[in-house]
Amino acid sequence: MIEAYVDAARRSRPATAALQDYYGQVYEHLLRFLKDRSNAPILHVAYTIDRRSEFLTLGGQGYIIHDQYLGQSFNKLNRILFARHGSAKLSQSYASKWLAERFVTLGCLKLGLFAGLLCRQFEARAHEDGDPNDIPAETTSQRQQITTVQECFVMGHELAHFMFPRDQQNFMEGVRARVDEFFSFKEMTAAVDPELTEEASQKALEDGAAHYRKILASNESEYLLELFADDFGGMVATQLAHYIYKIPLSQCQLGLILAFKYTRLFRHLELLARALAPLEWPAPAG
Amino acid sequence: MTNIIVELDPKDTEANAPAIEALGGNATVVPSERFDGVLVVQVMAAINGVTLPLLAKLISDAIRANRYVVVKKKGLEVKGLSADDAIKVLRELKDD
Repeated sequence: MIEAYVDAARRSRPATAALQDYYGQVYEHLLRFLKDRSNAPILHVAYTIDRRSEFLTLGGQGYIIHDQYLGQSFNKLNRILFARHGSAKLSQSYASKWLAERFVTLGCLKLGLFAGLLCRQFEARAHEDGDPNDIPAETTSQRQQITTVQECFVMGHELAHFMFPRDQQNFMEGVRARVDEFFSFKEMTAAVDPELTEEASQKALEDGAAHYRKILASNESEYLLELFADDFGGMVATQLAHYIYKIPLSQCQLGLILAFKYTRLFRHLELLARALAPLEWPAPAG
Repeated sequence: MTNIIVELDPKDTEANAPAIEALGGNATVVPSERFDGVLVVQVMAAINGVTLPLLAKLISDAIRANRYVVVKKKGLEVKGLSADDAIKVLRELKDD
């Protein structure tokens, strides 16, 4: 039934067989973080234009849909980060590609074609001075490490969605303790902004802490769930990447920060696509 | 047989409930939490002689009451839906 759901809800094609095995192994590692593995969600690897992972319940069984295209998209953005030159043009090219694909699923083929042509144009411009992806092997390995961390994070985030309703109170205690610990960390004051006086940076820290405590006290379960999922996803991704895949901690941190930025980028592009799409939709009758 | 997805806002669960219940075993309700933090309720159903009028009622009621509703088939959002022509659009999707 999960296949029927993915087929109806998304434009998809079969996931790469080799990657299915790899994701299965990552998921096995992640399941060790569960106290009770009975009723654990089943992993379903998909390859869809939505580039979106999802936790859902179907016929009483939980599923985590892990989208191979989301990992591929993170990897592409990491490539742009490490590009030898032309990263601005490559970014514009990628944004156009993202929009082109989204316009298609929104039923806007003309806008999709336009964005697709823009993508090709920016890509060609970025290649005018040679191949921007011609980078040393060491940098390639760093990029792969960052992508690995990000994929572990996405999977951990979805697993957190399954866990949260089962022990919400305890999980939130954990998040509260970490927020308190983070903001009471003495070296943080120096890290806020070297230009600020000690008093001003202390105030900035307290404002930050107050903001998070307000969210934590809000009891808006949707908000708390996302906060927990990001916290848990980040924690398990770091543990898995560092201890199992031997990725340095600095790379883990970089990977996580970038994953948050990329996710935000996708949200901005979604808003842009939704704002432009009505240009092509038929005017309402009457 | 291809299924369609009717995507609804979980906040409207109570208002949408009668129309979803009418579909009975012909539809599967899929609550989903996405990586981008959006919560949605999706109703998955095949379009056939039994479900067509029931799905049309679910969709047109939601549109009339100004509730969030998106219809998808194979990942493509269906445009041009209005409360009055939901049945016509669903019939086209069935034959598509």
